[in-house]
Amino acid sequence: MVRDPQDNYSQFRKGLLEVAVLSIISAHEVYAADILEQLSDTEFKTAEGTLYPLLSKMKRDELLDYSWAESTTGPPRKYYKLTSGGKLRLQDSQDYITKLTTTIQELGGARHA
Amino acid sequence: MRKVTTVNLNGRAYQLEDSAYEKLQAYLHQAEATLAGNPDRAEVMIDIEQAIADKCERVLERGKNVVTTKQLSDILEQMGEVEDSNEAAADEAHTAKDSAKTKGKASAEPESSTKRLFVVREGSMILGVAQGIGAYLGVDANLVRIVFIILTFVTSGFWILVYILLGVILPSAKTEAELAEAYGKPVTAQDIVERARERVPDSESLKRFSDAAMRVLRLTAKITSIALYSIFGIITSVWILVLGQLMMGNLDFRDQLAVLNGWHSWVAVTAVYAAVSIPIIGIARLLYRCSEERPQATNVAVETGFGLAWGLAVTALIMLGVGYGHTFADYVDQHQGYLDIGDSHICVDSTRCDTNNPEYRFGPESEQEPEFRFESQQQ
Repeated sequence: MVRDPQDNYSQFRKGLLEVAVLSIISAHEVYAADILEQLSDTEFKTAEGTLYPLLSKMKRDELLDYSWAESTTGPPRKYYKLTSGGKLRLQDSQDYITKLTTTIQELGGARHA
Repeated sequence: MRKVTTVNLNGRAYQLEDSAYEKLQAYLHQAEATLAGNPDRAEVMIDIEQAIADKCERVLERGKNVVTTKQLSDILEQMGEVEDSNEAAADEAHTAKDSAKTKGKASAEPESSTKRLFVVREGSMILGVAQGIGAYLGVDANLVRIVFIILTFVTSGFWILVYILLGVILPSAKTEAELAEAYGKPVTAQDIVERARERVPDSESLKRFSDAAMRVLRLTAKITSIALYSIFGIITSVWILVLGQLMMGNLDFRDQLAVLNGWHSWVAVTAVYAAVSIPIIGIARLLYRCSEERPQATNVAVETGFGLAWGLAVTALIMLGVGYGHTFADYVDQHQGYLDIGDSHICVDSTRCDTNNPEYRFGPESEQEPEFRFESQQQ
């Protein structure tokens, strides 16, 4: 089997999935299905088996909260939104990613100089 | 034609082909095991079941109501393996899994099996000590019970104390992991994670302590309750004995007290019996209920009946006491503190009883003394 080149970065994606989810929810309140939908076209394509435990952990870390929304088909669904802690975390994470990128570039630059 | 199984996924029923059902069950078991250490396990499992239900809903075409094995496989593929995002636990589980994988064939063998002595309630007769020791030694619990009975005789009952002590001190195996430990079943990676989590917080040992304390309290309550029931039995026997003697005319009052003979004496004795025994039985019942893990609801009719009977008994005693108080006091006065019933002379006022007088001494029925002293206090 040919190895997916993306596999090299699976650890990156795993660590950044939380940031991606924060970013999606920060735009507007969503259902879990919306999150999967939005992630499906990206590098962060994720399955329920990973997302649900992650959401519950983020809820426990008080990054997000949910309310129950009635649904036309089936039982009520969880409707997720960010808490202030979640917004702060998203901002911090984005800053940190930028900083990391800059550092890596600078390290490269320093060597070439 | 294929057999189908109906499953309940978060409140909705779906019909699955049997092999699809097996696949689903394996998936959910795996998910549950992966999330074993996750505090939100129940919630995540509901979310996952719901997601599977939604996907089943989508694949069911109009007019069809059975999810095929192929469809379910696709669904589970979409769901992906459940991963625990609780990092510490997940990492530990992965490490354990990986090490099992590297061992290859050995992974099928138990990695380690530790046995611990637990109290095992499942299948137990009394406290689960025999069950626990049987599990620990790998022998049938009945064999242990027989040894216990022999030990009880050999130590002339002392073993019962040791047994109770063991029942209280030994931890009770409640969770699956603990039961596995009690029986020394192979310990899986998940068990290790679970045990590691269990050891950390102090609250767990506190809980164990309070569990033990509760067991001590329950046991004390049960023993006290049984003791009170026994006392009630003794009082009842005495009452029946006295009533029988009264009815056969063996216990007769004389002189002025003769007015207390006949039905008056029966009422008096019965009232004393009821006034004393009803509170005892009430406390015994209460304690017995406290000693049960799931107490039954109180029966209002029974409680009210007991209350009414007690009120009636006390009222009767007060009325009898008021009615005969003076007669009784005069009588005791004239008989130097003694009460003559039948051929017996019973001291009811020790300040005036003359123990040197051979005429007056404790008679053979002196065990009835307390009931009559009760009346003398009503003066």
